[in-house]
Amino acid sequence: MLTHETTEKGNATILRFSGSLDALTVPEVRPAVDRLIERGGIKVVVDMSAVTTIDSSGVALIISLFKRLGAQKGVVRVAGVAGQPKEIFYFLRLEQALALFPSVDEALKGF
Amino acid sequence: MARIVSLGPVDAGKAWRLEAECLLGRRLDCHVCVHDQRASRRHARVRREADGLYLEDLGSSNGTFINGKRVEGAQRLRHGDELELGVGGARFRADLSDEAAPMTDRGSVTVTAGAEATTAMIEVANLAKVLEKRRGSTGDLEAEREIERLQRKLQAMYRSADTVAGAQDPTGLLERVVALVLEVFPQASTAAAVLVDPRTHEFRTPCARRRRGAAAGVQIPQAVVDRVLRQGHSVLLRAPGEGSPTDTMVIKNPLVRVLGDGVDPPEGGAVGWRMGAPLTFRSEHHGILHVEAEAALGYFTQDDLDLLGGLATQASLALHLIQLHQGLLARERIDHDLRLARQIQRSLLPREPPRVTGVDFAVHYEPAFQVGGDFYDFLWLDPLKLALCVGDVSGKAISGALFMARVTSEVRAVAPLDGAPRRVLGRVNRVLAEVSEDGMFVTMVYLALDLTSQTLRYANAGHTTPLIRRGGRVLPLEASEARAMPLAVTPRMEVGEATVALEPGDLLLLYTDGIIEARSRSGEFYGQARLEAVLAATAAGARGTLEAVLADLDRFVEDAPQADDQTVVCVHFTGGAVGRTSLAPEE
Repeated sequence: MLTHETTEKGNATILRFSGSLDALTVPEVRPAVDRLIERGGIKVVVDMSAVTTIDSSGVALIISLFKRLGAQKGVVRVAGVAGQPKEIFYFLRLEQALALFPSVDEALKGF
Repeated sequence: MARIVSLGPVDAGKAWRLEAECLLGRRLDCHVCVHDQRASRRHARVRREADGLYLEDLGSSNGTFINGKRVEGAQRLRHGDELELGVGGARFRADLSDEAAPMTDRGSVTVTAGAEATTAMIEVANLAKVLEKRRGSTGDLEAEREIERLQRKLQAMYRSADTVAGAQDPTGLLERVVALVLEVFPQASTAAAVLVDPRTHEFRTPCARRRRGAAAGVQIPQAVVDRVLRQGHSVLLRAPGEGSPTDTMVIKNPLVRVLGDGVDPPEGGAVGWRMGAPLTFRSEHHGILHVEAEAALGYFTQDDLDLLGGLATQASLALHLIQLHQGLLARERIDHDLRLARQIQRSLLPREPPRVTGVDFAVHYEPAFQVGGDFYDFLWLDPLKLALCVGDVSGKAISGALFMARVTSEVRAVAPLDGAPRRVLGRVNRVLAEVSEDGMFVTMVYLALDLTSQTLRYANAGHTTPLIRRGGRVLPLEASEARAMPLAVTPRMEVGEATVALEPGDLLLLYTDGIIEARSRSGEFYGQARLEAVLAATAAGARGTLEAVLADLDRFVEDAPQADDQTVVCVHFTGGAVGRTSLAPEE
């Protein structure tokens, strides 16, 4: 089960996922992520604090958001990743590419 | 009167009425004067046409966007649309709630959305007619009120037909419907769409909204979902909290019942604080629409329940149509592009494993769809060095297949130049990170087997962990220094490597995440631990071990559909002398 929600804060868009980001749930949120990417040139904070589990499809969604927005001069920061998703991110060495922040507030600083 | 309301960054909350024609821009004489540098002097125009309001961009430098999509030509404005003048610029919300729906000919409703939904609209319209007659003869106050209610209902139904018409995908549709529900029911505090997985019967909430504040924490009790789906019709719950049967009122086919009672207003004044309506089309349950009232704002009546039922019927029909449409599109794509992609892809995979004295190979490659994102390759670096790689491209279908072609050709070009796995992955990454701008990336494990020294050097870019079976034990190749992020994520990637000495009898198992992320019918992952267990439990050679793994996987997933490509490569070092016995096939 996965829910998502987009809010605007200052000049940044916060994309918050809650639940499991996996092969079964990613197709449901992909249209929303695509719409975000279509806007181009924007600053996005992905709030992962309520994501309980992630699999390769979920990782693919985050990387694809990072790459596609980056290609359009957008910026992605990832906030609050914890638990199993955090293990996976570090296992995949993604902290070398993605800007990880402990919380949304931290991610918004100087954004 | 239709209007637009500023969402900021300046003048947030300020509203402008939309006249027959009005200009938006920085010029002081624009009807909507925008104080933002991203706006052009004459940026956009809203015009009234016979069938509604249209927004057109007047050649602005930074473009005009409706709901994040750039406006080309003139685009019809819909209620709730978000306008943006230049990315990050001034934003407005279109408030067309007062735009009258065509109400002149209530008896003959134009069929736009489909039979089921319009039946409900026609019933409401007919009823309004009956009541109007009665008002004419008696001046009945009750009838007057009833007409008002019905008109509100009819208007909502028309708007709902409009709302669902433009949606392209299920989530987009449900988001529109949920927003409409909040508009139609001023007493509602939250609205949500719940979807039920037809296989597992688990439910999830792809969109939920609160009138005020973040949608997080909107809870829909499982009991309510179960109940609405079991009964197959709309349910009004009296208690704000839960739904014990005594607290509830159930109305069967409410519209027909109201009609059957002729012109009597709904009896009893039954009210509730929570409503659920099934999203059902021809006995196929998609989920429910759920709305909750805020005690301070009011409650729901049977009328509201009828209305929610009508909206749900329309949404169900639209949902069904979208799914049909998506199904057709998907099939078309498969029929045309995928056949080509499949040919390209198959031509890239080795036709058969290399022949090496003292080493046996077995390969299983099973795309989930016609074309997969998995690949594997064997490359002779010199007569005594063989490179193996297994990978998984994130893109699907033709774009994925083309990207895979690029990946394998890069590996083939780079590998003979330098035997060190970390430098092969580093070089391939630099090329791929430059060429792929569309979000694709690839995980790959690359191993260089030295037949002389019987060692294996490896580097792993975000791929699954290779396993070695030695005796009855399993040795994962998971050295931290050999692990890197997936390729093509960023040009700046650090990658190291590790070496393992092989022993006679060792069996190397490479696989893709389609194996360990295969799910059972109950949704559980197969997982690396099970794979290790089955590997440890067999002493067979390459072919036998491969078969044991696949048989165990089959038992685990039973008849659950395969969601991802599955690739397994087994390499068995049988012991004794080793050496190349034939040329690699691609040469």
